[in-house]
Amino acid sequence: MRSSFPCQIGIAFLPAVFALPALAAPAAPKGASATLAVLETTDLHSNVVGYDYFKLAEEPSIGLDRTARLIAQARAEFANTVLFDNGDTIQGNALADYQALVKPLRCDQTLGIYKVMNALKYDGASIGNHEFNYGLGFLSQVTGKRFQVAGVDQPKRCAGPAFPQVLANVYSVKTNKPLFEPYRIIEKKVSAQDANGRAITAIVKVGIIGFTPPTIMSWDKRWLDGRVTTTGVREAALKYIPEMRKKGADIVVAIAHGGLDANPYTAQMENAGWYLAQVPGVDAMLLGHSHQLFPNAASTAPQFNLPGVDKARGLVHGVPTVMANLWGKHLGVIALQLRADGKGWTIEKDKTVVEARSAQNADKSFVAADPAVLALIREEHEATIGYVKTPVGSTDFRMTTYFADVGDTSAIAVVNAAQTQYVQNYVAANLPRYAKLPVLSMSAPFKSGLAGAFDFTDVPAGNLALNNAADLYLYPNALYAVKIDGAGLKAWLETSARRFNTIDPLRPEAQELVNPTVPSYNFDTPTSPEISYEIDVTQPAGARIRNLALRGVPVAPGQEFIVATNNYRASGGGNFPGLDGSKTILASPDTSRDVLIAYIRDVKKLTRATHGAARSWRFTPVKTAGPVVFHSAPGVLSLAQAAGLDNVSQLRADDGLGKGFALYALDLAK
Amino acid sequence: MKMLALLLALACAGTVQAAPATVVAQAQDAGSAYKLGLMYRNGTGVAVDAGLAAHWIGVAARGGLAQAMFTLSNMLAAGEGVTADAGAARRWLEEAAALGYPAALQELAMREPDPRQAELLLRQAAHALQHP
Repeated sequence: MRSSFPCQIGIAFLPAVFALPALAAPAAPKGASATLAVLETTDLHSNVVGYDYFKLAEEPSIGLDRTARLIAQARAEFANTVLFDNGDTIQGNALADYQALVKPLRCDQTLGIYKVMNALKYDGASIGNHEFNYGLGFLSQVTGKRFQVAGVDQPKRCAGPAFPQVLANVYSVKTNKPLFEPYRIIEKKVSAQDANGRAITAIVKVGIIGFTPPTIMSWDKRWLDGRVTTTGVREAALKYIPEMRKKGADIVVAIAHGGLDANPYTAQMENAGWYLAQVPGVDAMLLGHSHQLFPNAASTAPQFNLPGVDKARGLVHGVPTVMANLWGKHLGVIALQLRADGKGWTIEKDKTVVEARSAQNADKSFVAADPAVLALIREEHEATIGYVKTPVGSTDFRMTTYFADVGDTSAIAVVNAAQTQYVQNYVAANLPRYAKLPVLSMSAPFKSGLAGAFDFTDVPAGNLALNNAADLYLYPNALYAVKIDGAGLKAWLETSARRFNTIDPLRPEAQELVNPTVPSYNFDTPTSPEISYEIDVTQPAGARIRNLALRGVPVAPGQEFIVATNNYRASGGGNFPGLDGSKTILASPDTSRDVLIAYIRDVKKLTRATHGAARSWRFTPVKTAGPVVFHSAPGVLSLAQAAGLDNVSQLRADDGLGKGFALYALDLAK
Repeated sequence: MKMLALLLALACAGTVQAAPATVVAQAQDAGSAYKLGLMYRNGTGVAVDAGLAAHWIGVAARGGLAQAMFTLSNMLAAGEGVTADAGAARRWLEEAAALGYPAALQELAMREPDPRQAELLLRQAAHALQHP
């Protein structure tokens, strides 16, 4: 049962159980018993505190500062605990980037998240794939190691975590030895009872062994190729676990940064937990990487319905297993009941209880953050906020989507300009056979009032910082490019034009322009003066694009184009015709947002003339008997005028629908 | 791979109206089945056949291929080559998202009415993008 411990204590006062040398340890007498709870965090991704560095706002649903409360609860509940982290710890948010890239950590400094983990008295950790993202030099430094690998010249050991980090399946090419210690046997002093129920202290030898996905070799090839090699997870387990047993490990905890996969095993298998559980000698598994919650009786995930997997009790081939979701949202708990046989400890398997405990309460609120966590990294946290607010360029015009549906490109044109330049450069450097094809770019207004009149992109004139770039490019996309023909281009634009209702020019009553069932993020448009077309909203969906031309010449159905877009669209998002991954010629590792930031850094100053005025489309002129209306925020008509839209007027400051919108009219005859 | 090479050869020949049954029968692994499904969907070297496209993309989806699950979800939602089935479309979308397919996570996020949950799904999509 979960404790209702009130959690009023800070981490500095957490009851901790310290590892002591074996010489000081009394041997466990036969018949003694003890409870030992194995606790897991995983995929913290540098979310030390629950904070969104791009929104510059607290995010209470994540953060190790809340998991710290769950750890305190577990330590109060169980007489003995060991706390391990599964990996993907040091990368994943602006704080991580700040400490690795913007103002790299000095040798004498401890990484923010490790400072907190030290204070929380972690007993050990493994290494995830994302630990390698900043390169081996950085990893060697912040883990307090001295990697003997090519390209890393570290004259001395730097500050690192105070707990052991284990990894059994990554080797240095230079030395042919494991990059980290493959396993560690932690001698844990525990409170126990002897056969007569009297309180005693004893030592439990807890062996931990770590594994990371061998696929790091392709994911971080630029850092790892020629410097390290990997072995399969199962091979590493078969090699080292017998050694651990021989050295006296009472229990073996496998900390595997991976999930479950029952496809045929290979030495490159990313999620090898299903096979790892079948290696003799594994007493408990702590999983991660796939960002799932296990045990989870309600899960429909196919990986949790595999043979040998008990998703309710948290067993994989009988091995108690936990995966604590991600970002500190959960704490994994495997409560083991141990009994001494005179030589060591054995697990009473039928008494094992596995749980993944949530930082969210039943009433949907979240446990309070432990303020001691933020206190430990306040300087790093505030420096990161300063970094996110640092200007990367400036704009002399307000960039908004209030009138994007009727032709204002002020928040879209810069995205298209950045994407076009990126793809043009890529094609010139890497795809010379396509060098003569025109490169277009599509983007959409991501925010158009779905959540209310405040829910539009609105970046003021002035300096542009990283958080503004997040406003301009809302979604976590990667830049992709597709090769399509003229018919495909027209079909793409027709699908976008479904954003509008069909307007009957003879109807005297007001007609709504926008079809609310087609979200604005599916209203893709180019913003280049080179391509031009009309949208005839008097025609039914699918027959609205007219006069599509490139540099004034009608586009032929077989004419080829390269179009810069994003992974969502290129992979089939929005179900645009022909876009299902089969047209992709570039799947960039760079995010669309980073492409935009790099472009703004390069251009430095955005002006209305260069980045806010060009339009590729207009509505086909038609005189309507009644008004054509749409809804946007009140009092922003001047923005339409500044964008050169002289056919928009505000009919009512309150459209009467109770959501704060004004009613505007669009004169299609102009 | 052999099957793919053969399919590509057939596609490049440009004269094939339907992939021979022997070739089709070889599309047993999910990746090959998906490529075959896309050929029928887009008319790449074969006549467009939405029914066959849905069949092979379905084979690939049931074989565990996340991008096939995502495409099948689109086809089920649109009734393309199959009877429209919003419930099945949603289930395949969720399956693709459970496998960490970025576009599926983003689609779920964009449809999610709870802003916090939507934000968390977008963060997962951002993370998933880092595992090509």
